[in-house]
Amino acid sequence: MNIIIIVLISLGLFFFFGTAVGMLRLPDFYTRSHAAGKGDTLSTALILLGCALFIMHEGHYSGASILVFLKLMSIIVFVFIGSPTASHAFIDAGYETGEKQWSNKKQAKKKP
Amino acid sequence: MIWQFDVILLTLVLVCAVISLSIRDLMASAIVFGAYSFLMCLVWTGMGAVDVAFTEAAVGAGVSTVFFVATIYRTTRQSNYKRKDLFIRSFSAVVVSVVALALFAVIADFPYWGDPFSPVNDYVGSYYITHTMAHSNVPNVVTSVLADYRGFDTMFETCVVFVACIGIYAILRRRKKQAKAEDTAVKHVAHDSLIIRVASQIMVPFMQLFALYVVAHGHHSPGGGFQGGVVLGASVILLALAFNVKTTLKYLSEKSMIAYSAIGVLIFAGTGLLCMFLGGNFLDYSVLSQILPYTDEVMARSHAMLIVEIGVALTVMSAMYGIYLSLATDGHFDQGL
Amino acid sequence: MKELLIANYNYVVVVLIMMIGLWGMLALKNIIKKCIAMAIFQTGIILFYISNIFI
Repeated sequence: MNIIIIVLISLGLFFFFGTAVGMLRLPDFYTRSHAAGKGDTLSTALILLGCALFIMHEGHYSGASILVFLKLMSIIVFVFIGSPTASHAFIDAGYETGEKQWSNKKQAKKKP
Repeated sequence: MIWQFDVILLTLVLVCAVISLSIRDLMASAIVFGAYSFLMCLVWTGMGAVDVAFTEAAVGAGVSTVFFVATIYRTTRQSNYKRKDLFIRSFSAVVVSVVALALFAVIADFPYWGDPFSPVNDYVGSYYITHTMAHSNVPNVVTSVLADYRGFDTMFETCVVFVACIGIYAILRRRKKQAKAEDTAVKHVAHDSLIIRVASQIMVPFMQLFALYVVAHGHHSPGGGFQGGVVLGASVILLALAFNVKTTLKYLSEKSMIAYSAIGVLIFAGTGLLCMFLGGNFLDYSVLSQILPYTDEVMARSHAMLIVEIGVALTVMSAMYGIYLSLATDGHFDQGL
Repeated sequence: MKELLIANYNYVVVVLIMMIGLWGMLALKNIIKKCIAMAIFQTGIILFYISNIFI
């Protein structure tokens, strides 16, 4: 059981690291918010799942620890409802105010 | 807690504070202030103060950033910097460094970080920790100090929140419509999004239920009046952001907002006056066992703390909602962010 | 001297945060920046209270 918890939390950290790298290195507003919205939600869910399993394992599956496990599961449900909606909200706002998309063509340089 | 985390977080907090004050774009400055607030919330969780971290996460990183963004939306987004500002910046830097040197000379005399025998831990803190269950049967020491041992401070804090809400409302409220179109800093595009509306409709009842749970469970877990009130206010602000302000004003109108904030202060001060009428001192809850059925003195203090926390939550909710409406609609109360 | 700085590191940070907030309130002309500086000052004071009682 400990191995599962360690694997879950390190996968969560790996996805968080990927989110951070994506937010810094991707070229455009839309791609950056895509990385932030998806990676954020998934890594939060994995880390919280690992913590919830750890609490239940340490409490030897008693009533109180199952209650804590259910509360952490409900946090994951609300993060899955709220965080992608927030990403949709600001990408929509960016589209409405006219953010340009990045394309692969080289920009025309102005002659001095 | 792990001291390496605390040291790294405290250094990051300093960096965030400096960056937030030196960015020229005001919207970016408000967002970096939100990040600073989240880092402070983590610092306080690391030191074991979960109640304060809860309040700071909800107020500083959540609602306060919304207030800043609403104000910047209605005014301008740029801050000007001229050459002649350099004089006052360097002069105040000199003044501040003199004060800092004086303070650095003092901190050598303080007890070191984590000293269990410092005067704070020895006299006052240990008295509250050892006597809270005997006096009022409330395990959460933060709530018992806030509502019982230091009830006067909490009452005046609630009054300050009420006065802030009324003050901002009184300054910004306008009655006649402007003839010309106002220009705002950001171009206002009114469009409707199905996803945001449905997701907010799902989230708001759960938020309110959780806020009521936080208020009621404040005796045994981190929580209490302020935290529950801020989450309640944030749920109504979410409704105002997802739908428009007119729809939210149908649910919770402007008159009821003012009335609820006054009723909250009335509940708190009224409990104190009731204790005085029954023969004890002001806010001495143990004499309430005469009118509450089947309670002795200890349980009367516990129940009176719950009543007082409900008053605080009501005032804080109405104040958050009222300040958001005044700022976001610029006083007109018809169309918001 | 240096071990004093490391043992009282939280007080050093508290003084620095309060001074950053105070400088912001005195020097910056924009009112929103002044409000942000006041909030920074306030969190510094709360940090002082909490780090005092920490064991």
